[in-house]
Amino acid sequence: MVEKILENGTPKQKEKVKEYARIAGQIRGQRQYLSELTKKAQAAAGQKNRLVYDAENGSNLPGTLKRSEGEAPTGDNTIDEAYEGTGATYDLYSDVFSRSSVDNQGLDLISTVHYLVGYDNAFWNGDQMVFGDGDENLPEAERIFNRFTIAVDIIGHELTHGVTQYEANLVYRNQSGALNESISDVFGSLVKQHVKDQTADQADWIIGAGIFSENINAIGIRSMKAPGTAYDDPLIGTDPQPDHMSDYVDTTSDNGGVHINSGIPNKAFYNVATEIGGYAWEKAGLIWYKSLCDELTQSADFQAAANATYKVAGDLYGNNSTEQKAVYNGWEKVGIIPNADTNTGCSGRILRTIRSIFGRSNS
Amino acid sequence: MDQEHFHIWLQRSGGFTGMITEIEINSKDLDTSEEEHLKTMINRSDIFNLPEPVKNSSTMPDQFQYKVSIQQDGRKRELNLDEENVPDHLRNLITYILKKGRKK
Repeated sequence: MVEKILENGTPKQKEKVKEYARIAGQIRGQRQYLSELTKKAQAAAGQKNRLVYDAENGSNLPGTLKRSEGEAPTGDNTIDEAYEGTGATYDLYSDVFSRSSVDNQGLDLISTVHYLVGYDNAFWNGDQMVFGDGDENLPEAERIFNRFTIAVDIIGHELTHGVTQYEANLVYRNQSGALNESISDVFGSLVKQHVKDQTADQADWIIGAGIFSENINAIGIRSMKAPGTAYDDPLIGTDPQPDHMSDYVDTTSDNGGVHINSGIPNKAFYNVATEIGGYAWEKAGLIWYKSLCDELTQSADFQAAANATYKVAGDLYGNNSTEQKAVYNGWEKVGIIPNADTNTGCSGRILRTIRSIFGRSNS
Repeated sequence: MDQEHFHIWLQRSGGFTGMITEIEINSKDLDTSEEEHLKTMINRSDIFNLPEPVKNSSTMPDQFQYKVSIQQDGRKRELNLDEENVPDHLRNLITYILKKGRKK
């Protein structure tokens, strides 16, 4: 279509196509630049290498380097939280899952903070994390959001989008997208629990605690323990997350409700982790991690995730083990019955075969 | 004068928070200076002439998604955009509308 417009479109249309191409090119260029940069500066696998940049309220990525691995705190909360949070995330993946950074090959952990002005968001752009300051430019009485580095699980969430990208690469739309989101919440929460040394029953299972200002009636952005209960406020409305398939939300917004329906697999993970007990990363986390790396395919839906985790629990702990039963019960409670026979389907098996031929190992 | 009235509907979804914001603006409800200011911003955004945005094959996780619909002078335009694909002048308009919606 782009070629057709360039060939036959009006001068104005041609100009606009070029503008889109320029913006897309800029972003691709930034990605390319970062890829080259990370290749050159890559720390050896097995070592963490954090780099925190400052966009200085602009949009150019990565911005100005403010803190590198091993350097002392800067005194800027946002920079130091990004540094500490990426470190905590690296440590969870390294210590618990023997994974070397986001790509399992020691990828530098790049963050950019102070992105734009009044930017109420954090995202992963394919190569790095980006964090906004929320409403910290406004008077306190007018603020809805605090800075997006304030909760370590947000940082874990964003970096886990990177891990997913290098593993199952779940398509960011509809159920596979909600699964992508849920996996980021799961491992984001595990980063927090790991830092706090909390067992499943001690954890609050809240994503983004502290992100809302005191003006808002909220405990966080999402609750994995009780999806749909994280906020209820006249200014921002009510947490829309379902906790059961019977309340699945069909929508075209938010890439098909990826941040809404993630409540269902989030609750399933919570159910499994609390039924198994102990530290959630040790068993439930490992089951989810291995499923992400070895079983799930790009288009996996909730059923495929239930099947994959059920299979992996059997592989790790034995069929009919208490762990596998916990996985079954956890999914059943949200309205999905794991099916060991179909698990992740033919494409999953083909992918695993290809991975084994090329010697890909993530454990 | 009537034909110059405009109606804007904006929805922002996605982002890490996943919260959905919807804002509707009818020029009839605005004072003259505000109406003129928004008219200028709509003109600058050139929304009626923008080609359909190219949907990226790989969406960046936690980016904002925008749906914007503008009616003016008997014309109507609806666009669905990923945050990374919003042209600068349209971004300025969206930012302004979001700020305005928040003041209410």
